[in-house]
Amino acid sequence: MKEPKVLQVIENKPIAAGIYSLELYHHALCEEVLPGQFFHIKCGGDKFPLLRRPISLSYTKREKGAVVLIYRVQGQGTEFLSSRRPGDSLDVLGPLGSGFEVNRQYERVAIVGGGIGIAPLVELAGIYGDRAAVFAGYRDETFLLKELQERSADVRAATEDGSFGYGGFVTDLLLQYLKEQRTDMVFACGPKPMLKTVAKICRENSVGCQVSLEERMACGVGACLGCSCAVNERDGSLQYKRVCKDGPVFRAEEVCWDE
Amino acid sequence: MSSVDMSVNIAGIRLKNPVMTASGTFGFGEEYGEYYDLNRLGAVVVKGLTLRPRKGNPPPRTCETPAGMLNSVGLQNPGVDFFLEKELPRLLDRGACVIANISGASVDEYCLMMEKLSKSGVAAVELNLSCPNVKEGGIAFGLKPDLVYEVTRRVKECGQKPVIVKLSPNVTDIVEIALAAAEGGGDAVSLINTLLAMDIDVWSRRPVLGNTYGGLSGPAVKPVALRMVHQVAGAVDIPVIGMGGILDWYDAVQFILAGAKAVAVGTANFVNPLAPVEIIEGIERYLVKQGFTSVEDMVGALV
Repeated sequence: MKEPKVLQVIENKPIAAGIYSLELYHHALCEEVLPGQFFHIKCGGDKFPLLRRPISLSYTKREKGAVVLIYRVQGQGTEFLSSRRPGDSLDVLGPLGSGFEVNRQYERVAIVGGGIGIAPLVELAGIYGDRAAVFAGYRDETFLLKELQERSADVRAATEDGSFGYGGFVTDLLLQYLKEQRTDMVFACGPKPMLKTVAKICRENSVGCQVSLEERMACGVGACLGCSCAVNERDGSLQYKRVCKDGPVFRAEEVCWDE
Repeated sequence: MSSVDMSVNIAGIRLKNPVMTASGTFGFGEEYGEYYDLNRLGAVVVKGLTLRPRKGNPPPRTCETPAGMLNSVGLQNPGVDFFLEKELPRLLDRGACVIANISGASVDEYCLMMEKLSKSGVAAVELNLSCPNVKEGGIAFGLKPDLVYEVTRRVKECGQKPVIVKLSPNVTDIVEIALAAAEGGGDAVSLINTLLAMDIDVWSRRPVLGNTYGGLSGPAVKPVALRMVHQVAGAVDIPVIGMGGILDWYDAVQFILAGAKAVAVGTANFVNPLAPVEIIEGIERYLVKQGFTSVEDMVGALV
């Protein structure tokens, strides 16, 4: 039977403005979790904030038996989370969700992240290593670049304000890359407009694409149907799938981007 | 611990304990069945069913509010036939006592579903006359006593299963509605469904929910629910199933003291998947400590 776990905080520190890196100790979990999966964390006392907060795995530290989660402070839940100190405990469900479909036969993949959406892609970059070209898009301040560079020799950054790397959208870099390089699969996570563009670029260049989606969640396990995402069924009809259980990773071509 | 009798008789069915799940918070039991044996529950009340499958409302469908949450799922469900064919056998195999929750766009739809469910292994049928999120969610019936009476009476005629009438709190006088359900032949009433509510994002100047309005649940609604359960239990002769913001055994005991013969756990499932079984254990401990020999002795035992 599954059960909520009590995990100990090893480290919880800011890595950029409003962005924190949280390291939790759990040996078995570290072996079990897949890239793209998430943890559902109780962020507060009994009744307020009430609901758990879903936070994706960023990467594992197998030698320490730790999982690292990167999150942005956006409200009272993540505010609480950012106040946890080493030695404190957290009530955690997971790993939950489907994760990325990893095919180890792929010779060349592109990994594309935007903003906090870069975080769930780090473990995946580690799996593909130098077979992955990693594209990291930021508004201004960069983060996690070192972690990405440790995993792949080909990391390209874009900032919207032009302060670092390519000045503009990360999707420009992806488009250029796909035109020049035969690629087996694109993995992406980030804001919905960015993912929509990535999906379009992949479709036009006939490359498969997996996207990790975000939605407001309640239960996190598939029971409440709160975190729905519109998908196109084969018969052309529209259905709502559960981001927490059927996802958070979906094939880009099944997602109904205009919904 | 074994010295107390945890079983309760509701609507002619014997539940092994007074704790059920609230419809719409527990799916068809599959997800939470990974956390504990479903036969430990008094009953599993399944996701609201409609005659035909429903896609549900556009996202966002949930958001958190102070000590509570809003939802506007909009009765997404695979339809009563799929439930009978695929979900119910799985639940019965696991030894669960199953209560089907149904919503109709017309009295005939409620009757048709009752006829189908009558031939199945469900223990009882709960009439959703109070879903605030869709027009076909029965809310049109749940707000007027004469319609509650009519739909309850007709559904009772259509099948043999005990009927539980789920009441909306979005009314001026819930007692009047409960009395109409009892008069129509309802075997029990359950309350409260969610309170119609909304939230607004001031930066985008839009409602947070895709459906604009949704139902408020969680600890924030508990005092309202307790008051309504107390009022209704004092007015009707049929059993009352109490719900609304129950997070732990303490909350559950409050509802039983207010007059509820059973309780349902809803939003708490999302916070703690083990909430229902922890509540069962907590009620049992309370009974022992307080010298009650059965949970039925505690029903309405306010002094």
